[in-house]
Amino acid sequence: MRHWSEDSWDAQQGGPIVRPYALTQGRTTPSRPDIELISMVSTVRLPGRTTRLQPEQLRALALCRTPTAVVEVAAHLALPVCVVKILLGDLLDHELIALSSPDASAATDVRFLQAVIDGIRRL
Amino acid sequence: MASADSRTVPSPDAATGKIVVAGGFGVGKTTMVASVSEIAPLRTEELITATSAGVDDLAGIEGKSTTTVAMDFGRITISRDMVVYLFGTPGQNRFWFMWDDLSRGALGAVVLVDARRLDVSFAAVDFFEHRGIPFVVAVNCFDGRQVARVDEIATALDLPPGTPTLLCDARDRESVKEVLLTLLHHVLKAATA
Ligand SMILES: Nc1nc2c(ncn2[C@@H]2O[C@H](COP(=O)(O)OP(=O)(O)OP(=O)(O)O)[C@@H](O)[C@H]2O)c(=O)[nH]1
Ligand SMILES: [Mg+2]
Repeated sequence: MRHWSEDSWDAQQGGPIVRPYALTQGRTTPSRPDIELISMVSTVRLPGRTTRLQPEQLRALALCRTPTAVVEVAAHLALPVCVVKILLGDLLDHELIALSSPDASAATDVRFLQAVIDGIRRL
Repeated sequence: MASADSRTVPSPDAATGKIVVAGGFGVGKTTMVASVSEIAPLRTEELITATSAGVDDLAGIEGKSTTTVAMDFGRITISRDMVVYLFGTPGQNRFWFMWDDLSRGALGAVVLVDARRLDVSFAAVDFFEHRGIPFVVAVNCFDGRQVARVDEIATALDLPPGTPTLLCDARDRESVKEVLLTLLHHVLKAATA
C-alpha cells in the first residue's frame, strides 16, 4: 500500500481507495458525531509548532479562515465527505476550529423560513 | 452569478439550511442549482460500501465493495447570519440511501421532472412523500416545450393532494427563484398548520 504522501493523487480523477483510509490513519468514524454536511467550520487559531497535522488539515485551516461549510471543505480538498469529517474532528479536538451545526428544526422555524424567502426574493 | 469577491462573508455561527433538488437522471438538477447559486456548482463525493452501514461510515473501505457517489451543490448567502445550500442528488435510483443523508434536516425538496420521461422521477416523489418531507414538483420545460398540462402531470405522478406543481426553465434564474419560493411557502404553510 502506498502512503498518501508518496504520490500526487489527483482526486478529481478518482483514485485508489486506500488513500482516504490512510489519511484517517485507519479510523472509520469521526471523533465527533455533530459534524454535518452543512455545519459551518471556522478557524480559531493556527496550530503550534508541535501539533502534527496532515497537509489536508492545514489546507482546511487556511480555507476556513473564511467560515466554510463541511461539504465545501470536502469539495475543495477533493476528498470524500466522510474522510473530511474525520480530519475536521481532529482539528476540533485540537481546538483549532469552531463548529456551528445547523438547527435540526429549521424546517419548522417560521422566522428562519421567512428570512430565506426574503433573501431569495432579493436575488 | 455574483463574483466571489463581492460575496457577503458569513459569520462563524451563521445558521445554515439545505434544499434538495431531486429527480431522475438528466432532468436538469445541476442546471437548476447553477441558475441560483452564487458559485459554480461544486462537486464532492461520498464513499459507499455495498454492505452499507450508511454513507457516514468508512468501515469496509478496504474491501472491494466500496464505491463513490458524487453530489453537487451550490450556495446562496442570504446574509451574514444565514446561508442556504442547494444539493443536486445523484440521479440513479440505486443511490436512494444518499437521499436519506441529504434530506435529513432539509428545509424541503424540489422534485424536478422532465415531462417526456416522468417515470425517471417516480422514485423521488415516493421518497419525499413517504418521509413526509415537504416538496414541490417542478416540470423542466426543455426548449420551452410544454408537452403536458400541469394537472395531467400531477395525475400521472399520483401526487398527494396539495402538492404544488409548476412549470419551470431550469436554466432561468427567475424561474428557479419562483420554484424555490413556491417550495418555501409550501414549507411555511406546513410549519404553521
Ligand atoms: N434545452 C434545455 N436543456 C436543458 C435544460 N435543463 C437542462 N438542460 C440540459 O440537459 C442536460 C442535463 O442537465 P443536468 O442539469 O446536467 O441534469 P442533471 O439532472 O443534473 O443530470 P444528472 O446529474 O446526470 O442526473 C444538460 O446538457 C443541460 O444543459 C432546459 O431547460 N432546456
Ligand atoms: Mg447533475
